[in-house]
Amino acid sequence: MNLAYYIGEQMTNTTFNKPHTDMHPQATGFPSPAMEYQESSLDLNRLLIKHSAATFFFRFIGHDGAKLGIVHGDLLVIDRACDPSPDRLLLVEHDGQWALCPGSDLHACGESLRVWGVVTWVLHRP
Amino acid sequence: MGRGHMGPTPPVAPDGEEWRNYFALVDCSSFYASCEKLLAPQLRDHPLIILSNNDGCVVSRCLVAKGLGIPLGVPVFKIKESIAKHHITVLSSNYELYADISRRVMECLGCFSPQIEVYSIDEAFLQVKADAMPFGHWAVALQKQIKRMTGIAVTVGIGPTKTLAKVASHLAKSIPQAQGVFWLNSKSGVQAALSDLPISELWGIGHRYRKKLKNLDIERVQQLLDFGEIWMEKHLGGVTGRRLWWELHGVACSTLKPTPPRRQQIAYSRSFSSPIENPGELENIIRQYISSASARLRNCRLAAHKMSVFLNTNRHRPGLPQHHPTGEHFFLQATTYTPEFIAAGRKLLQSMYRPGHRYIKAGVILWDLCGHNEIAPSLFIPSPRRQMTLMGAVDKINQLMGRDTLRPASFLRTASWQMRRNKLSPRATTRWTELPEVGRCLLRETGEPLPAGK
Repeated sequence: MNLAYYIGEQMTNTTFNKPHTDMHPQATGFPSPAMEYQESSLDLNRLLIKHSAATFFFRFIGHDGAKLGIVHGDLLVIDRACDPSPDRLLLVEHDGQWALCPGSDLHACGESLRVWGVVTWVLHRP
Repeated sequence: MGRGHMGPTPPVAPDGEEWRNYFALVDCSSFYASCEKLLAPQLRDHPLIILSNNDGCVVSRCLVAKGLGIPLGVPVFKIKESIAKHHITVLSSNYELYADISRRVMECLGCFSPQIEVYSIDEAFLQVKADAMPFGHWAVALQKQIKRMTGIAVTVGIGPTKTLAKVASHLAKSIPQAQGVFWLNSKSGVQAALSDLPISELWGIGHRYRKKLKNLDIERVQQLLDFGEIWMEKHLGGVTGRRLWWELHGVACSTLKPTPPRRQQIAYSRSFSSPIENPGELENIIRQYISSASARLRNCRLAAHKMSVFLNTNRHRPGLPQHHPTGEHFFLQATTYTPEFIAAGRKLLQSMYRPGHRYIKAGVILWDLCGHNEIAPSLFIPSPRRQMTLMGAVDKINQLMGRDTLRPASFLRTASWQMRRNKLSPRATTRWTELPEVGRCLLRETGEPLPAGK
């Protein structure tokens, strides 16, 4: 009955550096003087995602984004709940394709644009 | 016309408001097709249809495809010509995407009422008080918010009972001036709405009763009401019929079910993409189904005492040898452990399998469920704690890394029986590797948009 479990190909390139058990370190000798100041650790989700129902991720490909400082492979965080404004970068639908457009250029760039969401973060791997 | 209030303009002093508590049924329009179009701008104005499991029948159509007269539920091979003629885009069901978008819609709905019952992947009931808000405003604000946040258009039907909310939802969709919002707010309005409503639009009348009513030549809801409460009790399943009568008269008999009741059974069954005779392949399928069913079992924090496995040949081909066996296995102690289910499944299959039959469907059902922490200890069987820890870890990894990242080593890799989803769109909201791609920037200085550079 003991069937072995093996690791599928999706995982073979990943290494886990996680502790073997959930650790809740408690000082056994003296109580930590910083105990009352302890906060929860930084959570990227809370920084990047303000509206979880309205946030989507897109990938930028190609070299068209140079002027905006966006390069091939960058990850875009799009929030549909944010108000589009001239000082924000927008994700738009244009001629059946996705495109990025600064809010200030929206009207100059044509009639057929539909604003889909606001780019709230560009995540770039150096 | 005194039928009720239609959106989007708010009601001017609703005359004779007769109820205080209302149910709103929020329904996503053409949900699957809308999800696909949300993340595929190239499809925006094109006709689009979505196919069921194994790419068999049409399960969702966008508005354009509806306009072309493509019926719901039709097998795809029957409409091949229309598809070619109108250049209809055909996609497989992308359940990963639909489930994620559904989660977003339901999350948004939570802001509009603290009492919500998720009824299906694209429908939810909300409970609202009449004095809390004017519903015209409320429903229009809800529509706008859902569209803005999730990109999905919804219709809202409001009525004093769930049954009438469903009726209102039908009116919201079928009356163009309603613009997707309909409020049944008075007895006269309800009467007018029911007067020519077909039975098929009534909630809670199952397939069997619909057939029965059709045989009795009853096609309109009004005819039912004319027969009266006693008749409905007698002919529509006793208390169910009686409840329906009261619900249609604005007396709520059914309330929201925020937490689903404990499940009686967990079933996993599918038709194969092509018929199978080979016992090895069948065994492999059963293993896969057991694996899925038992993951679901653990997800519901349950354990099973009994498992049954069944096989079906094609009933619609009476010329072929037929065989529809079912086998059951009882476990001494309720279990959650996939390898235990798989070992039992293999034995069942060996006793059921008959060579020379072409099977087209198999299924696994887990019965006699109890809470996973209610497993009665047994003298003769070691404690299931270690197994539960192992399965918990396996499930966690599979949730994190994708289905079947970890699976029993006895699984074959590729198999012809797997659900056919040939025209699957990217799982754009749940997989990092399948995100939608942007390749263009529109800037004022350039005048002309730059060509897409890959």
